[in-house]
Amino acid sequence: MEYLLVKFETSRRVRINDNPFGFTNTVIQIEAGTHTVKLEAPPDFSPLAQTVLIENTSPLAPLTVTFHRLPASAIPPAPGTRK
Amino acid sequence: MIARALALVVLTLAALGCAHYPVNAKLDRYQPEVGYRFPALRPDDPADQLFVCLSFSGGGTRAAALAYGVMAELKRTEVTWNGTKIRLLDEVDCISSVSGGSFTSAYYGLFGEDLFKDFYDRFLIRDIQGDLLAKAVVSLPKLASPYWSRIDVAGALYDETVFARKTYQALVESRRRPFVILNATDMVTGEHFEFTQNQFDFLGSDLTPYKVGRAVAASSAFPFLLTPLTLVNHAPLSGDGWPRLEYTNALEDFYADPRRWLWADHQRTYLDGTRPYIHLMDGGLSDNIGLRSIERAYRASDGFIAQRINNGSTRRFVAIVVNAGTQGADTLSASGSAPGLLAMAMATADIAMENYSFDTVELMRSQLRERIQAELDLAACQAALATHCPAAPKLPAFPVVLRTCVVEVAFEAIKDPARREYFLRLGTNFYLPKKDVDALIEVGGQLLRDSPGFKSLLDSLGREAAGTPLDKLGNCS
Repeated sequence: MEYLLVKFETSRRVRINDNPFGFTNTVIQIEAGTHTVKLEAPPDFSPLAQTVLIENTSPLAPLTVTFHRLPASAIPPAPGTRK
Repeated sequence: MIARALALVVLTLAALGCAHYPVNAKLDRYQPEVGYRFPALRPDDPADQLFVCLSFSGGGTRAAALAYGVMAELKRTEVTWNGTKIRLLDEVDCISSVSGGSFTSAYYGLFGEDLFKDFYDRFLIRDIQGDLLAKAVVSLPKLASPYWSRIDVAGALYDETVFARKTYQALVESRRRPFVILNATDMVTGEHFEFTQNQFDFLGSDLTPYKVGRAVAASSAFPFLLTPLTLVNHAPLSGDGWPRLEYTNALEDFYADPRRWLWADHQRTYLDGTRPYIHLMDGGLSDNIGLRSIERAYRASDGFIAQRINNGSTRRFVAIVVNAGTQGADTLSASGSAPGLLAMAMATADIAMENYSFDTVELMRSQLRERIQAELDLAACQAALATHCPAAPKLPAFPVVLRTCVVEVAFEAIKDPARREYFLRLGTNFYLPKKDVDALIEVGGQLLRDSPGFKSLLDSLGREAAGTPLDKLGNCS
């Protein structure tokens, strides 16, 4: 198995390949290979998704993927609302 | 008058000769929340905390009876969990099975505790193979059709006389655990084929209206005795999110994880337009203990066990492997002449199957050991950091300390040599005398009670309930 750490400034559910799969800032145990990492809504983070190859990690040295919080002005409006 | 009668007979035979197996339904759109899938993750679902999966092996009635004995023992076993007394049977979240074991798992999935009321008479002590033969004789005209074969006779028999004509709709509507995975084998790829909507999505097919009896027939389609079961491949499916990212990403790189890639490559054969029909054989050919589906659910990103562990909702994961594997008497070693064709054919099938079953259990154990080791490494480093560098920030950790357990029930564990040999020599068929069935049920419970893994699990649960510290993180695998 491989290990992944998704960094974000608060705790947020992580989606791996569109599946709910752990939380930010905790170690995630995952199969080796290519995976698409996203965070759950609200969409106040950047980038929207990151596709990474996870291999040769350990629980003490997981692959780290970082999402940054967007400033309020940059958050896309929810569908059906006007900014 | 005679001509009229003859014409009627010819017409009837012609009609029966055009018999066709029931075709699996086409699915219009991909709907990830609909169909027979493990329920979507709900935050803090108490049912997820103690996550118990059972795997039932093949072995005809012998396997079905042994699995039944284990389930009866789980029903008798009470433990304290979160301050409440519960039966371990009520904590079973998933059952994955092949061949003979699929009769017990499907029956429990459909009828719950009625398993203990009527499965014994309805299946375990019945001469199923005699009934199959009788039904095949009655169905002779239908068997003239190239689209109606022995597996369809078996499917119809199980549907009518064991599973009360239930379809997967009944399993979807029951909304209760365990989630039952009946496994067959894809005759072309050799991959295990699960009767779940996640698998049927690859065929663009809706599992919901499909007869459970036919799925059990596919799972137990013993080669030569029964023909393979055929499914129509309606792929491709349309809709947002299809194909799933777990599949497309897995195909990106072979070397990073060949096992993941191979699974995806096998699924690709359903989507590339080259296979309009899928032929399924006995699930035992790809995994005779039914554990591979659980093992995949533990490691893959679309796996319902992996999701719960990474979300911290599962604190304990228990896999109970019920293996009804046997060993034929050694009739070869005493002779200096070369073994005959039949002996070689049997050995060719059995040796590969037994070795693979052994490795599958070891694979599951090693996956869980790896997790335990990862937790120990993290804890040791965190402790060293706290001692030597107290100002350093805490290391990232797993969301939960997972306690794991693999329990194996197998005839080899019987201590008395004569008794062990009695069970190891039982045949693989769909009829056993009542005394053998009773003995199998009894030994199933006894083997579970006596297994070190199960004792360790009960001890660990008892210590946790009493607030006593657990040894080595409370694992038993």
